[in-house]
Amino acid sequence: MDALTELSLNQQVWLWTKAMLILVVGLLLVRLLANALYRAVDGFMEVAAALTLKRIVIYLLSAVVVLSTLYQLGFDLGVLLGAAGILSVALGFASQTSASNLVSGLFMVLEKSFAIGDIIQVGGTMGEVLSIDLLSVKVRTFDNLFVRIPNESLIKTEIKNLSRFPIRRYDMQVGVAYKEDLKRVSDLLIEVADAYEHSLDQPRPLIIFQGFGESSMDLQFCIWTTTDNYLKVRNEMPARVKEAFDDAGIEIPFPHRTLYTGAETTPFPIRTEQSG
Amino acid sequence: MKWWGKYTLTNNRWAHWRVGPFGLFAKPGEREWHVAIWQSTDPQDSSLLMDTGTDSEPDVATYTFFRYAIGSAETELELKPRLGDRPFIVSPEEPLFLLAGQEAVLYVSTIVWIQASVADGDGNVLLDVPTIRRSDTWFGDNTREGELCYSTKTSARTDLTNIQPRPHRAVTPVEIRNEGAGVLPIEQLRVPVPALSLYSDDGDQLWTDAVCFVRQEGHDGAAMTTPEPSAHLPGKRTLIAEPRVPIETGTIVKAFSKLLS
Repeated sequence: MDALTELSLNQQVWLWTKAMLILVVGLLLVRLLANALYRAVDGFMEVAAALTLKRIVIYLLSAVVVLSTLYQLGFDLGVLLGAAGILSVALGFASQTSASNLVSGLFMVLEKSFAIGDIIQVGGTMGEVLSIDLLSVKVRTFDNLFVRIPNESLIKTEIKNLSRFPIRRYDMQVGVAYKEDLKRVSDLLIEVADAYEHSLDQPRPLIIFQGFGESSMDLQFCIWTTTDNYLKVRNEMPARVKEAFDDAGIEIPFPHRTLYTGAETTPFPIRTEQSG
Repeated sequence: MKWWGKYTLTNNRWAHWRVGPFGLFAKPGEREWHVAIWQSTDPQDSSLLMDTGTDSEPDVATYTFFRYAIGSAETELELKPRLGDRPFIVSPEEPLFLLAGQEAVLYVSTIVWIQASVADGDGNVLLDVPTIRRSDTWFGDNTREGELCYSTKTSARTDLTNIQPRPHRAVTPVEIRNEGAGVLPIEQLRVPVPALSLYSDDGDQLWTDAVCFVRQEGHDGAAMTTPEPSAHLPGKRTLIAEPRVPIETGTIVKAFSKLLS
């Protein structure tokens, strides 16, 4: 009797030892396999996509290892799977949003609209992409705020990727007085662009006539620059245009109104007062 | 007169060079170097000055100053011309056309970079800057795909004797063959200077490898080759600098491009 008990005790110890071995070695192998897979796809996929794939592999294979361990310990997996089925239905209802975020995230990663390090604008949020995770994208704004944007809202929102292309066009609105010669103004603007080191020679600067405004003739002055220099150009170009206009005597008018009441109007009375 | 080479300077005393539109002051100190540079905007400036011990000092209003801490007490400075770190887009000053079935050799010049390094065996490069500020330009079929280059104008001489020697510019012989059926307007030439070697001739004029563009019927671009890099170069020349990057011959390169709208 004691031998039988001792035998079953030994068997139990052996069972638990085997199960723990399967669990430890299994999880270790899962980790090694996932790392090897990550290194293999690293050069072919975006970092975010490769990390996502690695996490999925870890979760799936870890689940298999845990189930194998439980099977070794003699648990009836049928019961577990049944319970898991009920649980998954409940979880499904509870995690609709998360699942939507997860699927949206996968589609976004496959679409490659943006990558880690890109500058994006989503609604009123503009900043650098820090990470593209399973459920959300993390962005650092330029005033150093941390913003979490759910993938679900990203997939159905317009996203502007400000750093996708190496060059960008800066559009500057310029208004000049009606008395000015438009050709002279255009030639001067082109000269300013050509003299500016951060303005690209090609594509050529462009001037678009916007219309005869209430107080001025409105032009759009477009110059191309590298994406890295965009902010510098945005700050420096208006100052250069202003300086060139001042030197050339070209007026940028203030808004003004002319009161006109018809040919029969008598002069407006004007009264002057001496101070002091 | 050549301006490149090794110069032995005096501790705590400025040395001054003027290479075309580029001004350089350098002064070795106790385990440090002071360097000041100035780039004018006059591309025609052909000044040349070398003074390894001057009493004048760089003007703080116009020069940009740098200071380097260094382990050795070496006072020897090496100046070396290098070609640019990006291709040049060269546009002829006057409209230029090549008739069908014709070939031409144009001599275009591009500015060189000056590399100053401490001659202490460790190759400590203090600076590697262009002799004059250049404009950036985009070269590509559209604004999404292409590359950032430098831009310059050229007289595109066809006669070697008309080339004006300038110490801050290197001449590249560009052979163009129009094997298409129509007239070829030459609006822009992409000269891949980072992939070319730099030489000097007997008169200390700087030259690069030759490049050859062949435009074939039905192609918008031109295949660029350097089958004979020494073609159209002076017979006697000395290698000054290796290419910055290796060249890929036979690549279809958009050497000719319509002006982007």
